[in-house]
Amino acid sequence: MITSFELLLTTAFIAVVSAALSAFVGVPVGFWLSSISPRLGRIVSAVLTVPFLLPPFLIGIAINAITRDLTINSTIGIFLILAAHTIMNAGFIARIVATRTVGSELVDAAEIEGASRLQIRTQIELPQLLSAVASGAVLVALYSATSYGLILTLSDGQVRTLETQIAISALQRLDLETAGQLALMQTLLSIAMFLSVRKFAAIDSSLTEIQTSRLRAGWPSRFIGLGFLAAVLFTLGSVLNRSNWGDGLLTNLGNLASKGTRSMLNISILEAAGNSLRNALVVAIVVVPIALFMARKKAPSLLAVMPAGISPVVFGLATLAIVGYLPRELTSSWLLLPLVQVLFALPITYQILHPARNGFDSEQREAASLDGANWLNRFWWIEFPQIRKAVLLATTFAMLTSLGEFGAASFLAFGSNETLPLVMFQLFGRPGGDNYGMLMVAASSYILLTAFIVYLVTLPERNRNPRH
Amino acid sequence: MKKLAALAIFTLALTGCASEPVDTTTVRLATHDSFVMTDEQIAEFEESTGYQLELVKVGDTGTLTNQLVLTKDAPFADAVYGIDNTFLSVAQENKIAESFDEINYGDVCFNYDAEWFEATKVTPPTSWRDLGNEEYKNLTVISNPILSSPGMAFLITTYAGFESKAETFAYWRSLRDNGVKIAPSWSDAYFTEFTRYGGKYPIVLSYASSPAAELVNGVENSKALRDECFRQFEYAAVLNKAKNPEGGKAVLEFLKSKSFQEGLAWNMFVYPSSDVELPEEFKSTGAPANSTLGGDLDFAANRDQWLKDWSDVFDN
Repeated sequence: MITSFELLLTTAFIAVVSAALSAFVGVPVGFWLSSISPRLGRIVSAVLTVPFLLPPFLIGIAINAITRDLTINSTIGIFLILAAHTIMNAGFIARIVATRTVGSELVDAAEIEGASRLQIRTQIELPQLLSAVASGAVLVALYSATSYGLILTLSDGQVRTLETQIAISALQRLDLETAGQLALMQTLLSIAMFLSVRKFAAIDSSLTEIQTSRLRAGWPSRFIGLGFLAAVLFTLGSVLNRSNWGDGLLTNLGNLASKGTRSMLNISILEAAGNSLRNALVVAIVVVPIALFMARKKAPSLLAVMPAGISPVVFGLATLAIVGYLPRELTSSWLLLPLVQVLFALPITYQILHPARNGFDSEQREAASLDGANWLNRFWWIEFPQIRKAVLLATTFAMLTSLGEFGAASFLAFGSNETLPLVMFQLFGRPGGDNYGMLMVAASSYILLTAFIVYLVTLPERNRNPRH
Repeated sequence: MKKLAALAIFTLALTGCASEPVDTTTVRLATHDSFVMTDEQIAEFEESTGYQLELVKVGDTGTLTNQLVLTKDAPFADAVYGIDNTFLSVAQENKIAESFDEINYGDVCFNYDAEWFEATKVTPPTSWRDLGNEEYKNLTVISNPILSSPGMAFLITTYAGFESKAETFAYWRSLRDNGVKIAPSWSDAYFTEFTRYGGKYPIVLSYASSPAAELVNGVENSKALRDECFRQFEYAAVLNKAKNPEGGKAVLEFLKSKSFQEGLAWNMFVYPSSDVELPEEFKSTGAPANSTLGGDLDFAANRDQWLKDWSDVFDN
């Protein structure tokens, strides 16, 4: 039997090594990104951001499309998980690097002093980047310690982490005591990681525009950059390519309205997508006002970002545990899941809205206040127009969070209330007949939707504010 | 604190809006993934009772039972079908329903791909006891007893089939060393790993009735090993705290009705518990087992230890 200490070690090992690999790959990719033309850089960095925004279970499905024929043992399983985490997160680290390039004056000055490119990189640039990259890496570790869906889809049950054993203890062995103990360990681990992020410099939104550096990228950076881009394109491309699986794209598209081979699904992919969209709307409608409210103060709120440090699987288990004490109308309704998902969406929503609400000139608001405008008028006429873009962004991200959420949904959504990730996971488990083709079409649609959102979000602003 | 209070009020306000009247026109039946009921049967049920039937399939028997136990305070269905005798004690101890009615039975045993054995000239096994032998290396797929009821049924067979625990252990080690494949569920084992469905394993843990499904133009493409099988009974019940208990009762009555019972053999490849005529194919190719084993063991008392023993063999 595997002890809970071994589970903790496996989970921590996967998290730490994934973070190290993502940083190791992401830093040179970032150097490369900031050395190519701004136009190309924007497109490439948008492509590299797509895996970061995809839900972990979908990255698992994508990598599995390539490695399907492998027989998975625990070693290969861990290797695949690490590779998947790197493909998912190195682009995020690269963006952090590429948004903080060293100013060209500094590079000029250093060159006049006779510094080589390597010296500028190692002695000026890296020390400046260190805290931001370290902070990003800890976040990657946190994501990698809570990527339940990815582990399930990639390891064929051969790799056991705290999250997989929480689910097995609760759902398969009805051993809530063990599940609770493991959930506590999982939470201590992820909260510890989360708190250590807070000690470093705060991370800017990973979607700010990348900057061009005067510094040319050396061949290792270019090599790793091109190689990583190829890996991301290959992974996403293999899913898109397989949407033609079986009887072809059109049949697979048509099957999205069916319940799969031998009617194994409770609801079709389309119905599940409808449920997920409905949940995502509820999440956005609830979470954005809460985040706006919490963001009104200058001091950052730990409470608002704390849920980022807790695994959705733990939230799912905890919700099941308290379900008997909640009103019946809520617990037997589809609303339970989106209300739980509000907690997962709060950190990202808050992190987008907090700087936006505190970032602008407050003189106008104060002037309006003196003129006797009430808070609603002040908010609607003065503040809202200035933060509209941030609200839109926050709404989008809140919806994306809910759309891809797998861990809590697997505990809380049944039958006609199942969500898109759950139904896709069922198809993944029974790939026979039409099911695999349906899955690939659904996964492709998800990837294209995410890519489209990234494209919209990273579009350069047309009428840039001239005020400086 | 103010923040928390505001949050709480907001959430409460929202749940207030959400309270919908209890829907008594729909009745929800929780069941396992292998459940099949024809459209005609559904229509018959809906017309005769006025309820609309919603099926909620929740994985295998074990997952089904456990999910119902975990959500028993707010069940996601009104009735359940498909809890078997190996999981019945779990359902009873946790009081998910007042009483359980037997609906059907099936015999868990190994099937082999007759075509494959003919083509390769390998002599087919005659008993599950042969499967650790060299000639069947890497040929057998079973389903995980932790997750699936046929897997559990076979595990019980092996405890009943030997004099001592040491012999049972030795048998499982011989299976492990002979490259037995462990699939997460019966559907995975049968529809993904079995050679008749494109898999690599010509021997699969399934049911005595399964060969009836592989009968094509009178040719028996698969055969069952009908001795020393495990007889699995399946039960249905109205769930405690069901939103629509009346509807749940109507479903339970329908599951016991002649119409449903007569369809069981071809719909789900199980034998009806009530006294209805079996189709011809289920008297020959897919007939019940010649002999059964293990039905008298105490599942509730031993299940955890059996699974732990099994994990000890396969985890190390």
